[in-house]
Amino acid sequence: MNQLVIGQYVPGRSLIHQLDPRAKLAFVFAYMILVFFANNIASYGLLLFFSACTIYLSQIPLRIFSASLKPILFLILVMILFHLFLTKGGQVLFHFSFLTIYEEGVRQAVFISLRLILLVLTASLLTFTTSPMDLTDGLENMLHPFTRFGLPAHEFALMMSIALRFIPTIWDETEKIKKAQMARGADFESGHIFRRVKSYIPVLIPLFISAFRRAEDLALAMEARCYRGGINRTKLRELHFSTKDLGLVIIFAFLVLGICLLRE
Amino acid sequence: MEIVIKNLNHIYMPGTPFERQALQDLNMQISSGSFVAILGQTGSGKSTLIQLIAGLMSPTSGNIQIGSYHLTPNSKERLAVRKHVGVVFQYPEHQLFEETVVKDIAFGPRNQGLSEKEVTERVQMAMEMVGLSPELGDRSPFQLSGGQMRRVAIAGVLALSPEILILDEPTAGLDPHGKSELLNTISKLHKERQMTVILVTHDMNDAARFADYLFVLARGTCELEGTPGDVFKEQDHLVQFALDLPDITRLINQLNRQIHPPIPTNIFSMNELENHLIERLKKVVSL
Ligand SMILES: Nc1ncnc2c1ncn2[C@@H]1O[C@H](COP(=O)(O)OP(=O)(O)OP(=O)(O)O)[C@@H](O)[C@H]1O
Ligand SMILES: [Mg+2]
Repeated sequence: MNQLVIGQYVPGRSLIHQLDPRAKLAFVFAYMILVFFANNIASYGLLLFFSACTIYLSQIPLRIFSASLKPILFLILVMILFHLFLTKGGQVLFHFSFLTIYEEGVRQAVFISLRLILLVLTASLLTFTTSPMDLTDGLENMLHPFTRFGLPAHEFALMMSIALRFIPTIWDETEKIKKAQMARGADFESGHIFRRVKSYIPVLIPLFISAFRRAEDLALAMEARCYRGGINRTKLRELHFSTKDLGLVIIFAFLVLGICLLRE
Repeated sequence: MEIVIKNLNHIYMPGTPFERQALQDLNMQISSGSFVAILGQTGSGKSTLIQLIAGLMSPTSGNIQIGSYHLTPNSKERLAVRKHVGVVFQYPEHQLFEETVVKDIAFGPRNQGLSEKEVTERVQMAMEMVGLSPELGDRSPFQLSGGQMRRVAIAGVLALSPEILILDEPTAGLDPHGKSELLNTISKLHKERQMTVILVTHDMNDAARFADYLFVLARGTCELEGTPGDVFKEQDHLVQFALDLPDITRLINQLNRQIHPPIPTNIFSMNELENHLIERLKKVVSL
C-alpha cells in the first residue's frame, strides 16, 4: 500500500489500544449520540478537548488522523456553504445583492462541521486502535443476546471480519492492476468525469474476477478445515473487562454531566 | 536507451508507523540493448525498483535517467517514459479484462493512439511473437488455459513495441516446458530487436543462461553485480544473500574436484559444457 487505507488498524500499546473492544464500541456509540446534544461553544469545546486527549493518549501520529479527515473535507465544505447562505436568523453580518449571511448561518456552519469532524475522529480512533479481530469479537459478543431472536450473530461477525480482513488486500490488488494498465497506457487522471469512470473498467473487471477467485479459495479452505457455523465454537482469545474499562463508564458519566451543564 | 540510476531511495508510506524503506542509495547502470537479470531475496526491493524504472511511481529521492528522460521525485516525465517501457508484472494474466483476446492485446496500442490498421498489425505481430495461434483471437481470454492466458497478457505488453522490456518473475507458475519456451521467446526478441530486457527472477538457472549481466539486490541496495561468470564465482557472498548457484555451475564445481585443469566456471549451457568436454577429449586423444 502506498497510502493508509481509511480505518486501518495502527498497532500500538497505548492505553486506548488496551481497552476492551466491547467497552470501546459501547463508548463510541454512546459518545456519538452525545455529540448531537452539544449546541454551544462551551459544550463543543468540552467534546473537542476530550477528543484531543484521547488522540494524544492513543499515541498515533496526528497526520494519520488528519488523513482520515481528508475524504470528508468536501462534505464539510458543502455543509458550510449551505448553512452560510441558506440559514436565516439573528443579525445580518454581510449583505451583497442577493447574498445575505446571518449570524445563525455562521453558527450552524461552524457547529455542523465540528460535529462531523468529531464523529469522524471518534470512529477513526476506534478503528485505529482496535484490531479487526478484536472489533468483530467484540461485536459478536455484544450481539450474542439477540441470537435468541434469530439474529445470526456469529455469521454476521464472521462476514464483517472477512470484509475487514480483505479491504487492504483488495486495495493492494487495485493498485497493482492500476499500475499494470497504466504501463499499457491507460490514463486514469485526465478527461471529464464520464471518461474517467469508463477508464476504470480495465481495473474493475480484473478486480471482480480476482475477488470471486479469492472468495472461492477462502470458502474451500474453510471447508477443508471443517469450519461450520457458530454453535459450540470456543475462542482462542477470550475478552476480559478490566478496571480501565470501568473507567470509561465514569468518564462518560462526567461527559454527560458536563454537556448537561454547558448546553443551552 | 541507457538506464542510469543514481542514489535512488524509495520509502513506502513515509511518516506513518508502516513506513518502510524499500530502496536505499541504489546505484546501477544498464546499457542499451543488454539483457540483465535482477536477483535478490524476497523483499529486497526488486519490484519496487522496476516500478520506478517504468515510471509508475516517483522515487523518494535520487535520479533515474532513461535515455534523455530524468525521473526524479517531482519529475513530469513519468508519462513519457511509460511510452518506451513495457512491464510484465507477476501473474500478468490477472489483468486481462476484454471480451476477446485480440481486443485485450489491442488495449495498449489503442491507448498509444495508433490507427486501426497499425493496431491490427501490432496485435498480429505480438500474437505471433508469443506463439498464439490466430484462431484464439476471437476467444474470450478467460476461457484459455493458464499458460495461454499468460501469453495473451505478455502479447499485450509486446504490442506496445517497448524499447525496454521489464519482466517481474514472468515464469512463476508455468510448467518447465512453458517456462523455457517463454524465456527463449524473450531472448529471441532481445536479439532480433535489440530490445533492452530486465528480468527479475528467483531462478539462478534462468539468470545464468539468458542474462549477460546480473545485479544482486539485498536490503534495497545493489550488493553485487557483474557477468554471470563473475557473480557466481562469489559463492560465499551469494549464500549470505540467500541465493543459490545455478545447477550447471554446481556440476562444474563438483567435476573440478576430480579433474585438472579445471573447467571454466563461466559456462552456463549444457551445449557449451559438452563442446568444452569434447574439445578436451580430442586433445587428450591426439596426444
Ligand atoms: N505497496 C507497498 N506498500 C508498503 N510497503 C511495500 C509495498 N510494496 C513493497 N513494500 C515493502 O518494500 C519492500 C520491498 O518490496 P518489493 O516488493 O520491492 O520486494 P521484492 O524484491 O520484489 O520481493 P519479491 O521477491 O517477494 O517479489 C518489502 O519489505 C515490502 O514489504
Ligand atoms: Mg516482487
